[in-house]
Amino acid sequence: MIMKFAGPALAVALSIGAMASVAMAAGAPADLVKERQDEMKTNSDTMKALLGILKGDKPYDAATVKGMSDGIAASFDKMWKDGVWDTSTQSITTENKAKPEIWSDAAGFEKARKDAMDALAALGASTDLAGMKAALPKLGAACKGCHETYRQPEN
Amino acid sequence: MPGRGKYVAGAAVAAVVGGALFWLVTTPQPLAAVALPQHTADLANGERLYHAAGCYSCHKPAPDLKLDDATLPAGGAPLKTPVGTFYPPNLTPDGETGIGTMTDIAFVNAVQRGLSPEGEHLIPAFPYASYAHMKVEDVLDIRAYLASLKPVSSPEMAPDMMLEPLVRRGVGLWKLMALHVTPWQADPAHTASWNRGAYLVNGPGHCAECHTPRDVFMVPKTAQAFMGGAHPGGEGKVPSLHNLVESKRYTDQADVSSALAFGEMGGYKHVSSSGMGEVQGNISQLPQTDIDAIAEYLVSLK
Ligand code: HEC
Ligand code: HEC
Ligand code: HEC
Repeated sequence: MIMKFAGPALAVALSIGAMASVAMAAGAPADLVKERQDEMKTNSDTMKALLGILKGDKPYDAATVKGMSDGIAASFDKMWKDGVWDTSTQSITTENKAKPEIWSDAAGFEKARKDAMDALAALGASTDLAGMKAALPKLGAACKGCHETYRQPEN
Repeated sequence: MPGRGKYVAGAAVAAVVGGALFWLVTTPQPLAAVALPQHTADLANGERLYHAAGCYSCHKPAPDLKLDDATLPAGGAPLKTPVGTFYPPNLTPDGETGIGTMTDIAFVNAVQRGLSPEGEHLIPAFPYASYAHMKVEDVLDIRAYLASLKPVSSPEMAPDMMLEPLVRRGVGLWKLMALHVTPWQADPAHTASWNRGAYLVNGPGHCAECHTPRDVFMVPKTAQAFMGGAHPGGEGKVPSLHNLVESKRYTDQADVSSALAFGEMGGYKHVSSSGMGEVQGNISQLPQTDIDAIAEYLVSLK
């Protein structure tokens, strides 16, 4: 008997959970803008640390590099899951550097995200300094590629 | 109504005189071939200056050309500006559509005087007012480097702009105010590397084109050199290059150098949007000594 109700109960519980996360996805626009900017900043600190390893300021260690690239990838997943690019964020006019092309060219923006995720996967899969040397510039190009088209300078 | 007739006649005379004056002062002033020095081309220097000058950024191939080698400056990619959209031409040595048959003097007149081989004014979306400060030998080396590239066919496309002939002629007026043809002078009070940086920034690098604010005639305000302002492409603001260290944006000269060399890849966040990404990509291809020289010059701007 218990089993008979467990299924539907679980389904209801899951769908409430899903609804809650949909509700969260449409968070207050100002919070979403803050979240994406904070995540981006943290990621750029990680990039600085990665460059330090590449330049030999810090010793190379494959696991550390993988941890860092996984961290950036997780940050991207979190931002997208939280809906930080919700159209409502266009109402924020101070310190918002997102360009309208994010929404008018959604396919291009999605490709820019995917390019970054692919570059992160390649960096995470590298096993020595030579591999990192080949992978990190591609990640830099992916960050830059998106900013060149979808982010404006100070406004 | 004799009074009115007089007025009309006066206006007509003024228009004729004004028109003649306009025609006179806007007459193109090309360099004569004899002005070119004897010079043996240095291809390696030409390639270096080609990157410093960012020729590729504007003369890159149109997306539909589908070249095997997309690094060739085959031209045709749209360049949007407030006066219209340009399709900067093919710089490969193709005889038909490129600059294969352009003479050295015609090339120098285009790059340093803003004149087409037909003798018309070129629109200053092409940053020749900065290139005017380059050493002519460096320009000839770029010419030689371009001649060594693989020729590709990429037909010229007319710009989309209003009143093109009048605007071109009007550029002659703008040149009177904004085109200063004095070559860059080294300042003996500074180190050789500072002077190298100053040359790269003010000549080939054409950094002032975006980082120096302009007046209503689009003439750069030299008294406010590198102080930043509205983006000439009409999008957001361009930051000031003064006090990069004092403002705590960068820890020191080496940090500025690293930002220019690595950009986004090093987590630097202010060197990618609105055209700066292309510039940073070009600078990153220069020898480290040149990048350090640019940084040395920049951090000296107070
Ligand atoms: C898919 C597009 C995209 C990718 C990929 C991307 N960014 Fe961003 N980034 C943006 C946008 C859009 C903004 C502007 C956000 C705003 O102002 O709200 C931004 C802003 C930033 C900022 C400025 C944050 C601030 O303080 O306002 C930094 C730093 C940054 N990104 C770093 C990175 C790094 C490092 C990478 C690569 C690991 C990266 N970004 C990849 C789109 C992207
Ligand atoms: C910021 C963009 C930009 C950069 C950088 C740039 N160009 Fe151009 N160039 C243009 C535009 C736009 C035109 C067309 C202007 C016009 O139609 O009046 C042009 C025209 C020319 C022409 C004239 C061709 C003709 O037949 O009339 C030559 C030659 C040329 N560029 C060479 C160069 C070289 C060499 C460099 C690097 C040293 C360079 N350009 C850098 C935008 C640029
Ligand atoms: C096409 C216009 C353009 C040209 C040409 C240009 N810049 Fe920039 N520059 C910008 C913009 C726009 C930004 C802000 C980019 C951002 O926030 O991502 C910038 C940012 C910078 C920064 C970072 C400033 C800061 O506050 O962090 C430096 C340094 C810089 N440029 C140096 C140069 C140098 C050196 C040159 C010449 C070799 C140059 N720029 C040429 C448009 C330009």
